[in-house]
Amino acid sequence: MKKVLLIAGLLLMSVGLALAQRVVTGSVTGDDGETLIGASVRVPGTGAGAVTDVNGRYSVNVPAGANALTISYTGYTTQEITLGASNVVDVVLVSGQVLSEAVVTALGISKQEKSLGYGVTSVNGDEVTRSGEVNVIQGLAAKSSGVQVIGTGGTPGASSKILIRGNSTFTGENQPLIVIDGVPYDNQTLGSVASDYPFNANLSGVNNSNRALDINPADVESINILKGPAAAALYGTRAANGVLLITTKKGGKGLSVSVSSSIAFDEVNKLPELQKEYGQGVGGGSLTGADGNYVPEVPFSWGPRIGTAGVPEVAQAYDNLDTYFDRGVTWNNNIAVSMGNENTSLRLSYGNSNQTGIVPNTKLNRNSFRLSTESQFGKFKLSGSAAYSNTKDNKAQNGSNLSGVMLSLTRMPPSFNVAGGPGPNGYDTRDGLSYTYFSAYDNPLWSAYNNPLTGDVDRITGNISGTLSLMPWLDLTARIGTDAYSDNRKQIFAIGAQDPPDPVGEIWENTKHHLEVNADLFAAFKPQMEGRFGVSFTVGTNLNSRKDDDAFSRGRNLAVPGFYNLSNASDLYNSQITLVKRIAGIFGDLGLSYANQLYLNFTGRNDWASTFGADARKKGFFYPAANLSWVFTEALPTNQVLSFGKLRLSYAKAGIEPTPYRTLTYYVSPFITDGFTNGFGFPYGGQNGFSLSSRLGNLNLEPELNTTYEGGINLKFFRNKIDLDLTYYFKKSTNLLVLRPLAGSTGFQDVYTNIGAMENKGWEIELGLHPIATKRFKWDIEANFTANRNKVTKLAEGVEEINIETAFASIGSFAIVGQPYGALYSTRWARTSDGQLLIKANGLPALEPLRGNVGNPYPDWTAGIRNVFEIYGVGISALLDIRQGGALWNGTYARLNRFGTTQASADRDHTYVIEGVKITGTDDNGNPISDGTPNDIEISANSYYSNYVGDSGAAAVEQTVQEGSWVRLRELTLSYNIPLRNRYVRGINVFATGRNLWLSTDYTGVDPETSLTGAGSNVGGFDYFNMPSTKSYIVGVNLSF
Amino acid sequence: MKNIFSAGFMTLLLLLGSSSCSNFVDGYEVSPNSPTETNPALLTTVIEVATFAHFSGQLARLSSVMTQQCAGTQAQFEDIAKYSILEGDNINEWQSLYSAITDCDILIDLASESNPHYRGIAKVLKAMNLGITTDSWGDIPNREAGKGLQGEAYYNPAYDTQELVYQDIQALLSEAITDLSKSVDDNNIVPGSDDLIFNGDASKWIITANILKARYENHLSKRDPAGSATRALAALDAAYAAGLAGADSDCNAVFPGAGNSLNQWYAFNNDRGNYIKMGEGFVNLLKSIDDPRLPFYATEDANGEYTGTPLGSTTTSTSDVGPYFASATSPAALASYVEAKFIEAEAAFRSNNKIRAAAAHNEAIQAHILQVTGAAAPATYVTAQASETDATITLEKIMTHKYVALFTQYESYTDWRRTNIPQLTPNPVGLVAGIPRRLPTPQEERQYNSNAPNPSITNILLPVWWDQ
Repeated sequence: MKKVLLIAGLLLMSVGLALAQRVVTGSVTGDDGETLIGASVRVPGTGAGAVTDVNGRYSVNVPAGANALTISYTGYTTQEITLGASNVVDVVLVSGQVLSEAVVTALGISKQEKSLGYGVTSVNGDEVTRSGEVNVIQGLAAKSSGVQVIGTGGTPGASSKILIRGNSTFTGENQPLIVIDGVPYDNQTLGSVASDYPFNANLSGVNNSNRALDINPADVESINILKGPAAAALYGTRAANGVLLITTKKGGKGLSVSVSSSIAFDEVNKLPELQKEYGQGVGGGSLTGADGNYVPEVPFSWGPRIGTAGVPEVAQAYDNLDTYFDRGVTWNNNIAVSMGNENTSLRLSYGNSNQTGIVPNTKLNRNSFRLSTESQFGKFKLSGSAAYSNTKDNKAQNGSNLSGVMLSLTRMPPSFNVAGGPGPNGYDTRDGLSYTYFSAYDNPLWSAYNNPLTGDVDRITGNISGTLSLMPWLDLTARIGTDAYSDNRKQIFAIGAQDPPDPVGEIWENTKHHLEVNADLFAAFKPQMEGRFGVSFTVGTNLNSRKDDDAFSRGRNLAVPGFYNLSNASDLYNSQITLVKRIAGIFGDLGLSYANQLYLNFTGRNDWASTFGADARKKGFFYPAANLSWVFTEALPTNQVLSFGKLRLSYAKAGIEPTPYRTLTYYVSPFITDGFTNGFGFPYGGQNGFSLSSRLGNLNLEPELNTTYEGGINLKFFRNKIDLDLTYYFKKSTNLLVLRPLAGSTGFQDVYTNIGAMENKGWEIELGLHPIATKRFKWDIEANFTANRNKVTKLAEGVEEINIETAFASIGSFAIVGQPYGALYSTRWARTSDGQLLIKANGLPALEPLRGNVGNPYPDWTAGIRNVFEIYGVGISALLDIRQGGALWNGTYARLNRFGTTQASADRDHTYVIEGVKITGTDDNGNPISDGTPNDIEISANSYYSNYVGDSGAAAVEQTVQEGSWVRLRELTLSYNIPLRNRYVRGINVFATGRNLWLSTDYTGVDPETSLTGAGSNVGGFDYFNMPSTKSYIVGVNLSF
Repeated sequence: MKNIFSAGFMTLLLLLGSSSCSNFVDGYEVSPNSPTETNPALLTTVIEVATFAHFSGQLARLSSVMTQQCAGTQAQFEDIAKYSILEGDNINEWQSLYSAITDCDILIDLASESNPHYRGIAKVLKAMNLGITTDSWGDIPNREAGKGLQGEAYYNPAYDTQELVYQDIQALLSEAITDLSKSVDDNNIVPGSDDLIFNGDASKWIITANILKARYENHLSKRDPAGSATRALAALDAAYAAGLAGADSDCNAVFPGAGNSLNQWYAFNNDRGNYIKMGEGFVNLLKSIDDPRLPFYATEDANGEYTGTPLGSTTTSTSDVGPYFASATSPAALASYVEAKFIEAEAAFRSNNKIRAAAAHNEAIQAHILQVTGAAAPATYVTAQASETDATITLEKIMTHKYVALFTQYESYTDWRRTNIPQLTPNPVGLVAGIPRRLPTPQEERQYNSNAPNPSITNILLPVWWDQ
């Protein structure tokens, strides 16, 4: 490989080049026929340039060796033209925000969109800011094909997960790499977990943030979504799941200032429907238990009817949901100053987002500064940027958590007033403890104020990049970038809080540090070729180092109430985790073109990663990619129908290194338990103990492999009035790391081994329609459609299923051979061959003896449709978001049915008969069978809501696995450019946006765009007392001077 | 000039790329979060605690239900009482036992010649864990077991016959005695408080090793009645010579009583109340001989009585296991003076030395009553139960009293299988025709070890080798 590269490089350098300077002239018009006056015509890589005159004509001196022109005009898409032999070049610029012709690809290299042989979607920064989302990732929802964004709920800072073309690994990262201005940007979602916590912390705790939250959307110029691993050769292993290439705004010529300000009001958009007819109590409308005693201290709402005479406890019903949720307010203020001359430009921005949440005492405040500069000193171009952000937030308890907001709030009997306590705040008792209807749960208001997690993240990112245009055909670039943050968190649980093991008060101090340094050195050759052939070649090296530190201290048993310092705790625990990963790589990218219509691109990369055993580390691993683009319309006669047509084919492979520290077998302080008791732990009687881990390391780990085959076609009809882009891909992930189980007699339980496999295949369609484009009225439709199918094809020998991440005892998320990754797995009803329930003598359906797949949490297809109208300068944009399928376990609904707080369960004045057939015998295997007699056995409402649509042990969990399909109006924006222009004001734009104004779904819980486990987890589809989502009303103004 | 520069740059790039790339990533392989080494003290504590779990946890509960000392009344233990013992039920025990056996091997290596006391303790503990494993499952992996660390060649350990495993147990114990007999000065480091059992007292470990030798010899009573008796008595003589004279050298599981170090009968009753109650037959046996240990063996039921759940019943209104065995810090015997005396009685009886048998029997009972109740056995009790002579002593009496004294210990199950004393009636609602005599091949051995018995042993009435 080494030799090949060297020879290729020397060959390219020996190509003789001798071309004189020439003058190129031509005209620039818009595709709407308009003559463009003052359009910029530049010769990239040189200082040369010109502007068009009143007739739209230009004349530019093109220095020797230069072979391209860049033509740009406000409101039109910038175009890059490769110069041929002719010295007259007339250019037609495409108006509006249709797909831009020039696309920033890996390493910040701008390529003509038509030369790309793989799928890319470009999202304009404005589309993200207009969405009103504080989190850039959430702002991408429904805006591109192939992309699924999964929010976790409407509390400030809650994470959003992004998947491109499905999941491709069991144990590693499934989300794409984020690259800002050429430098990787960390987007981990980290929880605060003590090393002695035995459960999955993603099921409880707070909604953690994904760290792309630190990006100020107002700084984003564009986001290019590279969907396949085609860019992996240039960005390394993390790009195997695709890349979000974020380009930030840069300074321009002259001085300009832009100011924007908006305010958003957030409200809960959807909640479970709760009843207000029956009060607290158990069974049959009685407030007495089986023993005849009064039992108000139960979490059930199966008590007397509200207003029952003589029962003061149920005198009145309260709308606790209404009392509970606040109207959230988000202020977004941004100011940016841009200045520059011919050679240097600079942009400085400051942004502030200040958000208060719908849950009381939740909030977020983000301050961000960014400075970016570019200078051209002759043949040397220097650019750099530095950004600092501080994000502070307050989070509330969520999920399967006795201090959880939704758990306590929705289980609350309507006869109880959440704010009706005798204490000073209404949610407390006189001594300041939680005022509650059931001692095991915190009052949700009290919990929000007394059990918050506060976060404080300082983040600095920066990069310096220098490019020397040594020859017109040779650029040398060196770039170094860093991404560093510290995340300081404090979780407090007041004395009395129920989530800690004992209600004695608890404090966590958790400090996380992340440091990433990334350095690139590469040479780009772009020799001027005679004739119709073109060639470009890039070769480079990349070094990347990442370090994550996590120091966790916990104090339990607080002495002084309300004093939250570790010194106030009598029971202390510490744990510490450090992860270091280093990767080095060399890469090459060879591009060939023919006659402006055929483009062939080869890339290859060899990586060395610190996480392998010695042999594999020395050897490294190589992965190639190739793609082909054929603009076949260039070969067709010009016609009025098909304006542009392109075929794409791509093959790309990416290797993924293992996560750190899986090569060796370590000593651990074990837990010894037989599962019936809590067993033994260390220190034991003051003696510590370390023994060999039951998980074997593996020195022979190999990279996981991800191979994508992709084909696509892009067609533009009637002068781009119809723009259709169709892609089919097949992604095969092999060599996946799986914990191979071992027989216990080996002394170990499992070993990491590269044996798993799965595949994703799917369709992506993007359609742009531009039916009307006049000066006064414009109508554009942009639609995208995605359908992805995932299947696990191989696990370890003898292993048919893997619990991807431990979830609930009743339901889990599994990888099962032949099924989609993450299939929900739980108890099921026994059914006849034609699907009817088999009803037992007690009137309840029988269960299948074995658990099974009850739903796929990933959607069958998704679509986004945006309509944009522009009438006399008033813009209206509506984004419709459609999701079909995608199962969710509505554990909230099941539990609330059983507890009797759902609206459905208020229908309890009669008995129920479950539809099905009676069991009349058993077959030879002992399974129940029926002669088809319809069930007529009546059961009580309580039994129906507990044992059928509830979550008692008698109920099959599959009963409350629901489709998460939706149609929603994700965004509706009205904007107006006030026609005021003078010496000082360049533009005023006012806008109003509604977010999630309308949602149609059959899901019976909160907004089905929800995830209990969040972006920090590889599983999804669980709704167990998840926080609700929000809808927003936003108004704002943008001024530029 | 420029071309030269470019060529230089290219060369530099490629040099950087190839040779230094692997240097850049070297040296970050080892986790800073977990140690790659341990020391003998840390390992010893873990192995001892694991051994406590094996001898006083699930296998002890299972044994008590099989021998009807206790009754399984709810949930999993209702199934166990009905002899529903399936391949997936004891994976935990199997894994934990082999994990401890593996740790013993590591400790043996780590201690090496330089630290014979640690090595001796490791060998005793390994022998105990191998013993309870083979007594439960019969033929088991031993010589190839616990070597997963050495690579894929050891992912399918071969099964050794129980006969061979028993030879290895005796060999381990003999080697242990040799190691433990070395002077303290022959050790670089010696165990101390990390040895939860004996605080590093090698002489007590020698006694324990000898009692265990006697135990495992005596287990072969069906296979070699005379030879096993002779060798068991020889081992006991060695134990006496080494100082065995009473309960002060008992090898006990110790429970400091904090949340993660509770007596497992206590923890079980807390976490799994009513899963296990006293067995009716056992309570009635104690009542029939007016045994002073009854209030220590059983709690009072709701009526202030000592009662047991009848065979086949799931009544839970009966007594729980009592405070002597099931308090938070009650020790559990692993190898005791009382057991030694009962082994002596049985082996002497088998050697036809009935005088010695009677004396050992009488001493065992009185020593245990003193140990449990804190007072000497009442005279009437001694007269009735612990005053045997060569003329009156029977195997029935010895084994019945051993059955009483070794309440909650796994040895009771082994003893019953060897001697069929006391005579037990199988559970009338049992799913198999008789009391199980072994555990089935663990599921994961079937799935993941190509050397596991094929087909798997699922017949739990199939006797193990020494029971044939």
